[in-house]
Amino acid sequence: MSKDHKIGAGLRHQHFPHLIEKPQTNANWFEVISENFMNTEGYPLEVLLSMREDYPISLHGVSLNIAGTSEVDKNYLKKLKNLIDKVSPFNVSDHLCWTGLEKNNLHNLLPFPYSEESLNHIVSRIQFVQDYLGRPLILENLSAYLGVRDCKYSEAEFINELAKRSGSKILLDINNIYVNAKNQNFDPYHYFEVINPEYISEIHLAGFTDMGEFLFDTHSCPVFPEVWKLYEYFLTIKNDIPTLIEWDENIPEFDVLDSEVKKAVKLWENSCD
Amino acid sequence: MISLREFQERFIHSVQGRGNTILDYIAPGGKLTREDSISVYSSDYYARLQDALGENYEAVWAVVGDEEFYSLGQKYIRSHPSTLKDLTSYGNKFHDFLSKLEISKDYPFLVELAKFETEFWSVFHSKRESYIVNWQNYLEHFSGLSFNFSNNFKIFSWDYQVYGVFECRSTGFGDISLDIEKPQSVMLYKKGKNNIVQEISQKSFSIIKCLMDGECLEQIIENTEIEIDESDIQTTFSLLQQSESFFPREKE
Repeated sequence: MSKDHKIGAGLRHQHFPHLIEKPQTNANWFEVISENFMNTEGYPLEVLLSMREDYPISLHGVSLNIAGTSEVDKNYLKKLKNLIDKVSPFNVSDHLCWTGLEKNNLHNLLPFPYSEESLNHIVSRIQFVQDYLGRPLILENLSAYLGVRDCKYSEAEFINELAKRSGSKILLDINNIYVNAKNQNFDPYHYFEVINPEYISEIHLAGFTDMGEFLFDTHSCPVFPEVWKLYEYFLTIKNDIPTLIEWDENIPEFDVLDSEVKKAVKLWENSCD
Repeated sequence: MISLREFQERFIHSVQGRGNTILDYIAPGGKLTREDSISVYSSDYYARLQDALGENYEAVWAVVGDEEFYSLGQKYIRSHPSTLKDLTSYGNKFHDFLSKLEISKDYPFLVELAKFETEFWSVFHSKRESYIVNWQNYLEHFSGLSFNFSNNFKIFSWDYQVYGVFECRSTGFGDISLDIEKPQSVMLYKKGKNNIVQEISQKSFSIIKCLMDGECLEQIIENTEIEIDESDIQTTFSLLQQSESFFPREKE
């Protein structure tokens, strides 16, 4: 198997005891949830810094609230910058969503209207954050269980426009595209025709749960064959983008996650032939 | 279309069951109705905060049982919406909340147990601090010394076996014979990456409390409210030295 790939794995605390022993892995980099390390100086951070000695790390946040209409939380940004200084990540990302208002954080990645007002609002917030952090922000397309009516833009159009106006980059979660395509009845391959690959800095792959009436983005199982097919198709468009396997619920032994990494590496190798 | 701000306010109200005024502006996903699609977010919100409480107050959960803990959690979540960015410290007013409920009379140690859990996780997430002191250099004036303590060092004294209960949080209480109604004092500190909880005598607790309040040994011995002898002092300082969590205020 080629060692030159850019496939990584989500680093979760359940795997700390295994990974702290520094075993061989298929993953060439690891990603952590930023907030899990912003308020600790204890063991979790020690493990992360130890992993950083051997692997590139990316930081992926869930609470930036970039589409929120409450004031940008400068205390949060300060803590994020502090973590960036400690870890020197190659990517710093969050989600294109809002998470709550001043006195209510819903701790979820929430949809919003893809309107001109939202675009202007988010562009100005991204620029503020990028100026503060001194680096481009990477934003992930979210999974949603509802759409907003009467939007000016489709999601892919909105994301392109946002990246163009703000200088931010895109984290393309292919599982989310599939989940949304099924939930909101669109062709996932059409998404790839619209999204500008030049803006994409990272890919995510994960598993969902079929709830019967809708698909739920749970990250609780292996990547589905339909999502692997979409990834394979995307590799024909661009195959040099760091790609991550995420697993956040019902977390298995590391070997299971690592075998998912191996599958992604195989597909990438095939795309190079 | 309403403004982004209004959309978000309506969305939150709907998720928190304060009026489903967002419905006219959304298109449901999958085979869901609009109400159901909001319910997906609503259920997720309450489940996420309940999970966080469960992780942070595992011992309280073990004591009161699944059904009661769920009920307490849902009441707490509704009266304490989260303003945090991450949930590792969600529930830091849980002990206050419990103290106002009848259940704290059924389990008179419950409030102290919740407080201890808050402190335990706070110490876990704190930075390592270790003070290696050459005590030989201080022997001559030892009784006049006052000390600084690490922020990771905490002491507790209870009328009940609170730490005993805490220790049973993941195993349950089935096979354990625990005399809950017996006073207990402990010190909590961090050594290396681990939290250490050490049971101490009530006298050691009193000595350490005075030291933490800035008193020197001389003052403690003169304090007629605390009856201590030489062996109490030796035991206490031996425990403190093992903790590597304190050091003399004066420079070496």
